[in-house]
Amino acid sequence: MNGGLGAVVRAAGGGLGSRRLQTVIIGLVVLAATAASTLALGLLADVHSPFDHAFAQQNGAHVAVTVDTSVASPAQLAAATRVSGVTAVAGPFALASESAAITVPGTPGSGTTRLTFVARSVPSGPVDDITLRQGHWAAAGNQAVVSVTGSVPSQLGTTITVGGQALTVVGTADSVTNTADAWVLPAEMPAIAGGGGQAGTGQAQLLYRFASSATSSAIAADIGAIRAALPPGSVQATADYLTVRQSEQSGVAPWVPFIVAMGVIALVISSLIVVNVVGGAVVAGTTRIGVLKSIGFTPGQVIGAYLLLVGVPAVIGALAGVICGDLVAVPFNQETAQLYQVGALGVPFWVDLAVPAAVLALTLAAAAGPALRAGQMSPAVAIATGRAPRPKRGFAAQRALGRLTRVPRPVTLGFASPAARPGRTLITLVAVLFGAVAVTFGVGLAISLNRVFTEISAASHLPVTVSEHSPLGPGNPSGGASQKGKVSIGVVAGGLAAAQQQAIITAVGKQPGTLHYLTVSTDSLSLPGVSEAAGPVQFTAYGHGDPGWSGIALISGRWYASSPAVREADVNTLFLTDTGTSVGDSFTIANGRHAVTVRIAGEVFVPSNSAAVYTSPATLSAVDPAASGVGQYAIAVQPGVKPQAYANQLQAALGGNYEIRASNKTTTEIVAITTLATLLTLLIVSVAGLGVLNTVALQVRERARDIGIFKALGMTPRQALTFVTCSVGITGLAAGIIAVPAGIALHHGVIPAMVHAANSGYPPNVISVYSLPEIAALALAGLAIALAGALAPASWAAGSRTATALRTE
Amino acid sequence: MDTLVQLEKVTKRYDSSGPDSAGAPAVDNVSTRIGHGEAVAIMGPSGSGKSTLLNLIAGLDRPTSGAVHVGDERVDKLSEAGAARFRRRQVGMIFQFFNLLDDMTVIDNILLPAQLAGRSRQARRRADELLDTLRIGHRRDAYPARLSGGERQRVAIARALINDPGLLVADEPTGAVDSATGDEIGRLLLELNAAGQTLIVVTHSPELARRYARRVIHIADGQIASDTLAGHGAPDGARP
Repeated sequence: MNGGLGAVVRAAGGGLGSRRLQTVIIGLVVLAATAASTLALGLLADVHSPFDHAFAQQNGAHVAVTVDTSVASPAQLAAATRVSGVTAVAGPFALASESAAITVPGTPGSGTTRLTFVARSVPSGPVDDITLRQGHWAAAGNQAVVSVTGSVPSQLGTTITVGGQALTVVGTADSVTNTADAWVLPAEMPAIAGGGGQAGTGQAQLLYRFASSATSSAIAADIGAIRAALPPGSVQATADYLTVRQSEQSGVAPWVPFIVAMGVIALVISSLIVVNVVGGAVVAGTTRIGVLKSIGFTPGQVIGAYLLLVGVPAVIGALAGVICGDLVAVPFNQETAQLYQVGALGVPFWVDLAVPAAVLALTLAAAAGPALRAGQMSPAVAIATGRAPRPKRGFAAQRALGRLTRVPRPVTLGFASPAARPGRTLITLVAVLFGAVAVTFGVGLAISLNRVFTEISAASHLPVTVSEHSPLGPGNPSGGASQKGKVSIGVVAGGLAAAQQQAIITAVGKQPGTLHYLTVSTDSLSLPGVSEAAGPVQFTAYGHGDPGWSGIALISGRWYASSPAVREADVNTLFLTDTGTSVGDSFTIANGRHAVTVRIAGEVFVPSNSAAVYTSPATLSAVDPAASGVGQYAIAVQPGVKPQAYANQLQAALGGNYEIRASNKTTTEIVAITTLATLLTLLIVSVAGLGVLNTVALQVRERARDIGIFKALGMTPRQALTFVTCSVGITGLAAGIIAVPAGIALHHGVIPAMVHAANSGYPPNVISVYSLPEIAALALAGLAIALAGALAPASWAAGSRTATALRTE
Repeated sequence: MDTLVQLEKVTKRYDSSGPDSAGAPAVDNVSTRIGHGEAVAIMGPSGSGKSTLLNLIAGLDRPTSGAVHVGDERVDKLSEAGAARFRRRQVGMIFQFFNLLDDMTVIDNILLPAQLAGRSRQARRRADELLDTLRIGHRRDAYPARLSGGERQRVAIARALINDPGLLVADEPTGAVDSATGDEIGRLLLELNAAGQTLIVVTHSPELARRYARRVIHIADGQIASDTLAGHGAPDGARP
């Protein structure tokens, strides 16, 4: 090491040793800023990456085509695999869509659902490389592998009875574009499809990857090329990965505005605090810079020493911050990975590189300015500037506050302090402001989500459901706000027989704690003019009472009239959007030969990827006479009655032929998002608190002599503590007061964006969540952050020895 | 004469690992008494321990061993808060470099100890009296940066007297002013003593000590080298 560089390193090392507190604060601030930014950016990147990750890993099909093999010959199918732009193709695979009975081992009874079977001898292939999750691939004729995203329970040994053939589930697997519900060996298809599944006599599936597939128009052109290569009328259905991708991502879409808002706050506050802390550290070292110059350091060496002095803790903080950010992101990524069945997900590598690099660049840029200025000062000026700097501003504030004789002097002394350093005060105010905004927003978000997931959902108001026992589960006929964005076939809930209904009514009538109940009938219908991107229109009919008992919130209008003579319906926002209708309009529901004109009585808050219609049982029967009737009883319990205890008692009364469930108000979504919001808020508040700590530590250091004089004149430690905390408390209080309207505005911007991303409008009570006492309490959030940050340096000031402080220069 | 200040075998040793470490104690086994109304000068070379001794008497620092009594208070046993309250009530302090607060006016500087004691209203009249007595009434609303050295020290004296302390301690009160101003400050202190104010002054100046103190304690290497009546040059054997 040459002498110059060695001197720079030794000077920096000496600085690190003599300014341990400043060094620790820089390290901690950079750590917190990097962790918050890594988490925020990592989560943002994950909004899109899981599907893309899985799609690339599994060579997902850009386009899946179902071909009628009675129209297209094997030669024509082969020709269709060689169309322009194809990079890989799989198939043709025999395909059949059949109704199947499902029996799960150890569970009485069976359920019926419609499944898409595809014949594949192996899971792997150049396109749609199916990932086996458990068990093994079908090795014999009576074996099947089911999709983990399908409606067949993922339990090995389950029996699927179709076309008189019993298939045993021997494995579960995942196709990224959901190309089938179950896979069997090709030899099994004739039995499943009743002889119609063989290539040449039924349906076949062709899976393509194209060179040009990034946009909808490119995919449309690719599909056009396939259609052109096949005989007219032979293409029965096409599916493209962009639709599936959109559907998969729509489950995450509602959270994007929240993550963006918190992420941006985290990034801004981190940048601000890093600049403030690092700049302050260099300014605080001005005396030392003067001393270094007086003993022969060049301006370049001084700047190098100070950049190194700041750089060492910053690098350590940034590295630790990335690790912390990655670790904190693990539980959230695990949930996303589970949702997408893509194995392990982590914070993208580019985030791990970009965030610390950006934070370090910001740190060095923040240090370079003051270091350059100090480097250009003469040694005498630098020493004089840095030694016990005297306030040049704030005299008027000190004088005015000194006249408030009723207010304790330590308080007025503290209140006057921010005026002495307006620049630093402004940065502290903004930092605390962002922290308090995060708190206000986070609290509002938690209340809004709680209302969406619990207070205004059917599961909350009708917490106990009774249905016929089925191995496929009771479905979700009672509606509710929570919908995943998955494209799936869905379960057709079977209707309850009259005797069963009578048994339920009798048992519920006798059961203590019953408040009231509704019968629930559900149906799924394809309606002209309504998008089916996420499945058919979901119909729900509440009978035997007021549909308002469901607890589902109305965005506008009222609930449909229960009278069988009145044809009315309530619909969700997606239905109104798809059909171009409004509340009060009439709409004709056409289901084949059955057409019923209903008046839209209200818009219900049911965020979903599917259009939803709520109407009376009579109207539903008129629309679809083949509907299965009442499938469920949804029961409200009296106040103070625990739903689970009620359900257990009812189960004992009704016996094992009925499935009785008590809803768990705590859904995975609300737990995950509340945890994430809390974590991000805490991170942001920690960064803001560290910023305050740094500001107050600098202030205490600069005013050490003044504090010594105060104490010599009789200021007690408690008064010193009051003085220092008040000096930043007034800034925190101001920031908190400004933060409340700012946080509420952010909440009022983000929540609608989240709800709109879930294809819904919103009822007023989802937005109007802040009550006066809450607003008053939230206004103190800034004060709390400021006091928490100031407490340690204030304690140091209070505990400092008077004689030592008086000797401070 | 009643004893106001009593030191019993007082030793002050700074932390050997700290920056003030000098090996030997700063104050070494010092015992003495100062009566009510006395004017005592403490003299000695730099580093002899005279300022440390003053800090121990004023409750700004604590001895490593020994006892410090001022009036009815055992100062060395007081908590930090207790010491602060003691300084408010019983001690007025004057510093070499004034230690005025730059962002406060003259009147606000003077009132500060009274305000910390929670008696700002009553103190206003006393502050006006002191401004007149010390002939700085015309500078009442000025900031320290606008004052001459003499004016600053008079403000510091007014501040030290605002709570009517029993003991006035001054650490090199003329050290940062010219000789004419130093004389003026000395006369002022003498006038205060003549009015019954107990006074302890740390000074380098034999002239100041001779003219304005009735008793001079010489400190060398942390110990009392001599304790004499000013102008007489003889040890005062009656003083332990």
